[in-house]
Amino acid sequence: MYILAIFGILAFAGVAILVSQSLKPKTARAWLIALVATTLAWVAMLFLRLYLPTNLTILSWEAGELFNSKLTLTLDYHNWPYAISLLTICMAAIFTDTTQTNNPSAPLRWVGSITIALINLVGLLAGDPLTLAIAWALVDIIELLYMINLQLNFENNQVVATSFAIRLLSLFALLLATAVGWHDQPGFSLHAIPSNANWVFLLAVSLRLGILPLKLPFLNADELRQGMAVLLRFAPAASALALLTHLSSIPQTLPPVWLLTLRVVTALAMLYSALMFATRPEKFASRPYWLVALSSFAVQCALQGNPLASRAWGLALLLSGALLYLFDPPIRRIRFLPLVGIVGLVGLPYTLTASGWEGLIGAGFSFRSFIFIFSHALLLIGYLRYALESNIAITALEKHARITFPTGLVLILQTILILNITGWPGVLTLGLWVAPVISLLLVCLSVFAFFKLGLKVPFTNLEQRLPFYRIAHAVLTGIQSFFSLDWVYTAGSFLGKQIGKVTNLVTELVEGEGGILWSLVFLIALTTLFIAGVKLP
Amino acid sequence: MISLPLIWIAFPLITGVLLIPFAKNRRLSVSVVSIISLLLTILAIVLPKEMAFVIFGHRYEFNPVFFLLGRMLSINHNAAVIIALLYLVNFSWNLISTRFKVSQYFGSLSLITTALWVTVLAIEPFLYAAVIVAIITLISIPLLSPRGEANRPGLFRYLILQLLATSLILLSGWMLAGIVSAPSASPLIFRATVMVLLGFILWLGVFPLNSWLSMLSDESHHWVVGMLLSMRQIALIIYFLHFLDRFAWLRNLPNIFKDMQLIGLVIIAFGGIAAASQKSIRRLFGFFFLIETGYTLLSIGLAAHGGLNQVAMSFIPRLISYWLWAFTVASLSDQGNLKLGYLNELSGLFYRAPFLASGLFFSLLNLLGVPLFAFFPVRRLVWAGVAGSQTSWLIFLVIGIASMIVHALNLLRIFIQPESETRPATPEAPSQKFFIGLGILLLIVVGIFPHFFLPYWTGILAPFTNLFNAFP
Repeated sequence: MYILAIFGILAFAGVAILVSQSLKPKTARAWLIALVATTLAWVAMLFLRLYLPTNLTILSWEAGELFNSKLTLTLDYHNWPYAISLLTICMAAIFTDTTQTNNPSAPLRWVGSITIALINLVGLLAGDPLTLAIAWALVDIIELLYMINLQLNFENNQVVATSFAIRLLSLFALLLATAVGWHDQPGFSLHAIPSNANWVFLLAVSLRLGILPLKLPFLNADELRQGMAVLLRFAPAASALALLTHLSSIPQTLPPVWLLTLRVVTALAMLYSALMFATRPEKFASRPYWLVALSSFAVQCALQGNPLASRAWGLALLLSGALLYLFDPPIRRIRFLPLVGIVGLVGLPYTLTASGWEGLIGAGFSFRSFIFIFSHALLLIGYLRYALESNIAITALEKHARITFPTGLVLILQTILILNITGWPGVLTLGLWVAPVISLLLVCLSVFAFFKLGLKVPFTNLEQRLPFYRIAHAVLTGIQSFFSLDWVYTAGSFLGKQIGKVTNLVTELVEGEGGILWSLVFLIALTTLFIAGVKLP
Repeated sequence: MISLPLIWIAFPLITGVLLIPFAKNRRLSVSVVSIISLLLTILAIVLPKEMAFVIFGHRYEFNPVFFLLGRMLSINHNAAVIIALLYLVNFSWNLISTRFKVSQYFGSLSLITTALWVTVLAIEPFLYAAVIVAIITLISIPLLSPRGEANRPGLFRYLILQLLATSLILLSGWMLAGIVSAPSASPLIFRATVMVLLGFILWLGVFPLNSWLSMLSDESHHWVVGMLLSMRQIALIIYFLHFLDRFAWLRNLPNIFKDMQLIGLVIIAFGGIAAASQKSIRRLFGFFFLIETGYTLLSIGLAAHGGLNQVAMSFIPRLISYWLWAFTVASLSDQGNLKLGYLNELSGLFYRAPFLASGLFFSLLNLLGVPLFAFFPVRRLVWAGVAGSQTSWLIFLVIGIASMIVHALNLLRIFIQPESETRPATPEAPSQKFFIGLGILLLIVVGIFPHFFLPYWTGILAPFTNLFNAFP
């Protein structure tokens, strides 16, 4: 019932803000309501750590033998760290949004943040595929309506449509996975996913996280740089990451060739995204690559047969990422805050991501291990770079914002520390300490090289300073155009058009003058195939 | 003793005929039809099993049988659910029909059509129903092609194919007389099967004989097409189940159910691809109808996996979608937003007319089976059935669904396209917003609480005891 109380608090706050704003608009009151509600929800969620696992049936679709399904919520060590992180980001978004309070739409954004946190929380806590599918659909539709409401320009609107279509694909992949799983075990819960459905669930997760297709449609409109937008991007990933922790038998069920292919593809996606993350011209352009890179780390853990280790990378994605991207405006005086946030990513012994290395490297070092370490080092370099590039000396911030803005960031740091201690049994571990040490050494070498070359943040004159810049730039552009998979989309689009042409030709034939005769010809051809018993797969 | 066929067939039939002279007063005609349809729906829902009401101490009993020209019309308690559904369709389409520029005979002819569809399901020997279906086809012509409008090829094709189907079914009936005493391997059985199946393929517009569907929905008013095709689909599916229930030789044919699954899946895949490559929004309804027929055949084919219940539970989610789609397309056409019917004419619709755009889009998502919407609880059972029956055939479903997603993507891209030249906002009347909002709300409420709304309709299957016994 405590879970429902959390939902109730958040829902009540959303409605209360809307009502109070429609009666007598006052930004301060709306902010206070949002803040109190999210804080209460956060504390309640922290309290629930003492009662894990907790199950709750929210609706029972029972009508004789027709449906016999239940919509359930489950809170356990798989999803509790993600749930507390999601509420933290929501709270931090509301805190940091105080830099925008002069904007009359600010209270609506807070309602939006609370709503996004609420519905994503349902998906995150889903105990069965049915609840998860409904939550994902709800999230996608609300996000779509919000995006449409922003009335973006032509290009961004096309991206909105494409990203919704990819979300729909991930949703149907989830439904396909459920259908396949039901074949073995009807009405299964996420804790007991049948092994034959594991790979289809992985497909759904990969689509949702943007690993497939690698080029995640991502908006960079100015409207999407505020706190709510960060939540909008990170929250859906949370429920997919929570689902990933349940996919424990992928190495046992996938044929070795497929498994190897997936591992290689994910490793390449990881390396490419990390490289792109570190080399973007500005922080917000790096956001999709951050998501894909760390999601690839998490998926790699599942492919290695240790999905529980994916939590570490998933939490780094959410918390360290939120810390970096909520740091807007990037005020020079407090740039140490996102810098401290690197503790959630670095993976040194007894830090939050220490346990994540076991999921990646596991049995022993191999060539792939070096790709992981190198990608990790690139992420660290990029993170350091964006944090250090903060050079705005804002003096016009209102007094309250001077306190609330850094407080929001501190809240994230505090959650990283809390999860570092209480996230799940065994979180405080030495881990495979060699890997992060190598990664850090690579980072130090890079920093040293940068100093040696006389480079300083922000990197504005790389062309003159970097040796072989033009060659490196050309290589990077080539890699980018290959991995952006534009050629695949072009080929797919060409194929789709050809299929459409054939379909239209058939339609024109059967609707033309001799249409009925053509229809009969098709009918006879199909009937012959049936009668002849042509074998289908 | 009041005869039930008189209540649900003769009374609406006579009322419909009497309303024809008052056709010019559309408000009167539509109001009378709506009230009668609603009352007949309610009566069908509340009809007790013992077929008798006790009101103020008086017992009113109903006679389930009525004889006419040596033929029997039989309506018992088991048939009440399907009758309720048919009159519900008529009510929901008539209630707001005065908004649209449809034939002045819409009210009266729709009531007559509904009564005749009830006759199709009530007449004994039931093969005579084929003649009634032919009459319905003829009656629908004035609605599909109102006076003063040029007749187009789709209408002729509809007429030809429907009447051809009738003759095939009647011909099969003639052959059936010999089947009773024939051995199971008789060639008569094969011929009768071909006749029956071909008849239904033509009636329901199954691929590849589906051309009339898209042509008709392109040429005629969407509100009329929506109503006529919705009723046709419901009644003919039930009529097909009658065949399967009555004729053991038909349902015992080797692989008949497996083949139906495969045919259904092929139709879903083809319909999806065809819908995705469409440029005309008016023609889309025909392809949706085709896909839904595919899902129905698939569900019947999955009878051993509970598919028959899925057939019955699909009717309401499908009807809501059809209604919403027909309402929005008809509104756009009548308001002059669809001059040629091309999708491109709807660019920026989400900004110009958000309710109309949402109506179209959510209706599509429902047909797609997206969770949260009414169709999802049933669709997922069908998908699971396919996975349980023949996992490799899921590829057809994947093709069909992926194509529909591509179509949804196209539609969305057009709807949210900022326009180069500023077009005036399409006015949306408050009542329009209300009805679209109601439709969307219904889709979501049924989708979240399917156990309240859908199981009732499985009562439609009560008469098919033989069919159920074949799949315990």
